[in-house]
Amino acid sequence: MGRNAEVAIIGGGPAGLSAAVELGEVQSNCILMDDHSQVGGQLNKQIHKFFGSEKHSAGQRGIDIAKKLEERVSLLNIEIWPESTVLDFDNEGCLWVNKGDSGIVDLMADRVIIATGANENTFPFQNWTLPGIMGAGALQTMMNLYRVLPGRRVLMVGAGNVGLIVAYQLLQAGAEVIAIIESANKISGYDVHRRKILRTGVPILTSTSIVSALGEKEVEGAVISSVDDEFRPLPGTERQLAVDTICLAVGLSPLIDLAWSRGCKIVNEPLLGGWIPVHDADQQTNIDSVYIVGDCCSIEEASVAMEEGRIAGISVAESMNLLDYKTAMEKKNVAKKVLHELRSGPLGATVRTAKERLSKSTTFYRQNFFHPTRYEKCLSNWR
Amino acid sequence: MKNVSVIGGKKNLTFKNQLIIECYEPIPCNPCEFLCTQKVIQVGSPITNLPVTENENCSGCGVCVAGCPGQAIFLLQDSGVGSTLKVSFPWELFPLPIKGSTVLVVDSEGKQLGEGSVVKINKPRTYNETAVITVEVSRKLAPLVRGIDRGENNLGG
Repeated sequence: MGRNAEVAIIGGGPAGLSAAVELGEVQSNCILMDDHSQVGGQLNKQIHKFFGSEKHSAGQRGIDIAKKLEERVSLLNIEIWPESTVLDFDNEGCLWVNKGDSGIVDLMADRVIIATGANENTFPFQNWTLPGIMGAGALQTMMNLYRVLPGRRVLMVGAGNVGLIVAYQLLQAGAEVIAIIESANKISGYDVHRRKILRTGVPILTSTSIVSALGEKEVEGAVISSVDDEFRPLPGTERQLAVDTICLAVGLSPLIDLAWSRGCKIVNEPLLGGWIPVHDADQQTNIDSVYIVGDCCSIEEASVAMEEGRIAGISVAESMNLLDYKTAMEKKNVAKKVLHELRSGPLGATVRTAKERLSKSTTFYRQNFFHPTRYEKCLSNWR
Repeated sequence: MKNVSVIGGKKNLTFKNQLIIECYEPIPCNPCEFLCTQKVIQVGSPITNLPVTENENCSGCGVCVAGCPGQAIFLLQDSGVGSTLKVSFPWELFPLPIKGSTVLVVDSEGKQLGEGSVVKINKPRTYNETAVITVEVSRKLAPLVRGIDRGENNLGG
């Protein structure tokens, strides 16, 4: 089956939903697809209150923000495709969608906004394939979305914000967190999250890593050990913990497959989470019709993703003449100001510089040799 | 930190209500400033400023305690008489302690400090599921109290 649309948004998380709201408001013919049965993405699992500016939904819980966004989208004329996975985004701009209720659909859209989010990182250790070892995102999905507690005694690996937040949520759900271990010599998560955990009496062990999981059919324990500054286990420091679940919160990687298969230029930007498609301040990639927003173009927070989505939505509307230059500029500037605020201070400075660098390289790649259509033209002339 | 040292050196609190804000990182966050109707907490611009408090105007309502997304605000209250102070802190765990029960209070590291009694559990709808629990503790311990022990026999005992 073939379909056409003005705009296709891949991913119904905070970024995708915010883009959809902007496009719906200018009456664009827009399709929003998500591989889950329900839109909202990671917001559906975020039961904690968000940081941020008082003016922009700070202090609200992620699940409530998801509900509000979903409500706004449902009032607008936006087609939502739940349970739809995009299998490929070919270099002619066609989306191959495995649409939940009607099989494979090839969708041609004038503009595509990629909002696919991120993948969880993992790392191997002895017996790491035993049932009971899972990513923090998976655990959060089971616990907060499907209300299934995967274990009673949990070892959390990783003391970044995700590790600290999910550990706290495990306590809220009635599980016991035996320890949070972190291979680095300091806790990378926010201080307030650290304090929240420490007050509950859960120990956070730095310079400690997991050596192996114990058990025959499922996790029955874990062996942890101290590590030196180069993360090598120190002999004789092994300790055994009785746990039934090992949760890995060791970072996220942008989900860039679709942008890559479309031919977007991918660069390595470790400060933003690894390999990501180049994009400018309007979230446009080096391919004019493709925009990228949210965690798939830098690992940040939901509030940032929402502003990026908004900017992409406005830019797309402008590029399709649904918004005039002046209105679009004004609206974009409001969102960019909020974005700047969210990335302000020393903690946001690295992201800000990396994003500026990316924006410059986008212009470069757009004008130069890696422009795919221009590249193909060159090829055909040459042939 | 500044608040704690002031209290440590005197028998009574300098002010009737005193906020302890454990917010030491420049996170872009400012709901506390807008929650306070008495303008006790100031963040200002840029938004990454750390909160500054003017405790003499604090009415002790506890709205900021419930509203801080980082659960980083604690309230110390001094009635001026008796040998105890009241400490209020945010609580998002289950079960809630029972009003009137004796509980073990803990410091910021989760270490047990001693006993206290639960005098108030405030959880109106506007707090958005966060409860603010007030315990009565001795003057000596009170400035260090950040919560209560979660131990099985402790809650609702």
